[in-house]
Amino acid sequence: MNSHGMHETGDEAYFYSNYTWKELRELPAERRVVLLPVGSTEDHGPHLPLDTDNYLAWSVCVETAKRIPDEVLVMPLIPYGYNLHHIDFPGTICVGAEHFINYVADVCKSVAYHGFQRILIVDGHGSNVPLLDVAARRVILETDALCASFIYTNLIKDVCRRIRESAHPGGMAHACELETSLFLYLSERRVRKSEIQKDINLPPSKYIFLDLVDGSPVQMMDWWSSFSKTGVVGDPTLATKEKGRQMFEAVAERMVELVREFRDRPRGPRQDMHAEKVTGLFGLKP
Amino acid sequence: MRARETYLYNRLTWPEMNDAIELEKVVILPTGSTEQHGRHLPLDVDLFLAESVCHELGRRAPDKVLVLPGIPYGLNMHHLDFPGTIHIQPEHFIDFCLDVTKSVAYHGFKRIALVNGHGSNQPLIDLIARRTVLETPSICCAFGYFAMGRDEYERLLESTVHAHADEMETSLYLHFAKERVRMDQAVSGDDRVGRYMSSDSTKVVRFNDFWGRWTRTGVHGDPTKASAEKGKRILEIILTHMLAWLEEYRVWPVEARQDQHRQPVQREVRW
Repeated sequence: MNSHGMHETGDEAYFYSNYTWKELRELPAERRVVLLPVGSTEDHGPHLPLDTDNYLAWSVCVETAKRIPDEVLVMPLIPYGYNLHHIDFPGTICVGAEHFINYVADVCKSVAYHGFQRILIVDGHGSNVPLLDVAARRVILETDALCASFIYTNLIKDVCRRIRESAHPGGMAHACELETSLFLYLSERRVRKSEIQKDINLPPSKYIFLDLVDGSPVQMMDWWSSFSKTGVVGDPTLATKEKGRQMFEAVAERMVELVREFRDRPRGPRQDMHAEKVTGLFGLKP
Repeated sequence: MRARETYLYNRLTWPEMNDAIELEKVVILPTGSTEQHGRHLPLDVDLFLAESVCHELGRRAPDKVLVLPGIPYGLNMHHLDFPGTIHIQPEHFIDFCLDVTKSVAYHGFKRIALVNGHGSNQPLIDLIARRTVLETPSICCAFGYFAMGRDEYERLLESTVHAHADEMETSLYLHFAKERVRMDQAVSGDDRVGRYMSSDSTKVVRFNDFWGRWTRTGVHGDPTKASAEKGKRILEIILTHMLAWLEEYRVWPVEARQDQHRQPVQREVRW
């Protein structure tokens, strides 16, 4: 059982921490892309468990690794994220924004130190997105590696638009048709089906709404208990296992494509354009 | 009731979490690391063993505990010369874990514990537990799972140094997941030892040197003496003590503080 209580056989060669140090030192030469799954421990309505974001991000990474085991390494997942806005729902664990960024950046910097050149942070929790953006940018500026981050749903926006029956946009945000379909497909027995209910009670707006696939033009995050009684924003009654299968297949296919592109992405050297010698501030060598 | 039968924190939904809070479950946060453990053990030893021990405790007392997802990365720069080791700066580690324990306290769980699998996290989890006590209405304690029943299980061991990727850790790993141990690669290793200090802090003076300075294997102790059978017996000893600790902790009083000042204190002071 791994850190989120999921059973894996555990000896697969795509898990970073299954290696010994002596074995691992051969791997940077193979130009593997390191996948760091990041999630949250957070309420997901009365029908899904708190590990939803962790479980989905983890499943996406493992499925990708099964398809291209020699090209990636999956790191242990970071199970806590940024979500004070959910704290009124029992069980939610929130890590402060700067604490989260620092922790993630330290992990990626260690990976870069060992010689890995390509790191992908795979996120399962919407509110981590801007923080992981900063973390990934810091890794590029503070190491020699390339680091990128994304929430997995961003890879399948077109597919979700085609499949979804929820109101568009603003009808599919959290413990919704999308997340519930994926969970039904991946672990049906853990979904409390009798508890599934629709809850969309944000004030109607053209500019401010919540949607996992098509976010609003203006960003605002109010306390969730002020507009949701269930912790759901969306309509999970529309979720089906088949929709989940189609979404998951699409994510996995595109992850493979992304990993391969990222792995071979060309990169020129930095060039100093100053006429005079620079001063060496910001921890940069003059 | 699902909250009574489930010992994994994040397998519950939020309405079920209300039941768990009512049951006054002890919430346990395992802390580990991703770190070299010699040529015979994988990098996940500290996380895997801390979580495995806590999950076994949960299986035996599901109505009394909730085990959180473990913290997978810890303080480790002294191991960085060994490929794969992940280092978190000490203040970042404290900030991150403290946010977790404070969130748990916020929800109304009165008793929280950090159960550690990585020696170098020890001073940090001590501080996290203390700060959780001082900054929330809950109580919080911390210990290394390996400290429970140590005198007893040490009698089962043939080697005398117990530090890292050693007879004890290797035996436990053999018990839990034999197929992942490269026993043919196991070798024993010592640190540099003086009269008062040693490079891995086994003497009276606290001192941790870069491991790349004094070992080529990353081992401190003698894993060649390890066996799955020893691991099973060590685990039983550890769990006997952890179950007894759990009973003690569950009823540990959380009393109102008593202010002994004659004049009113300055409540506006911000720490």
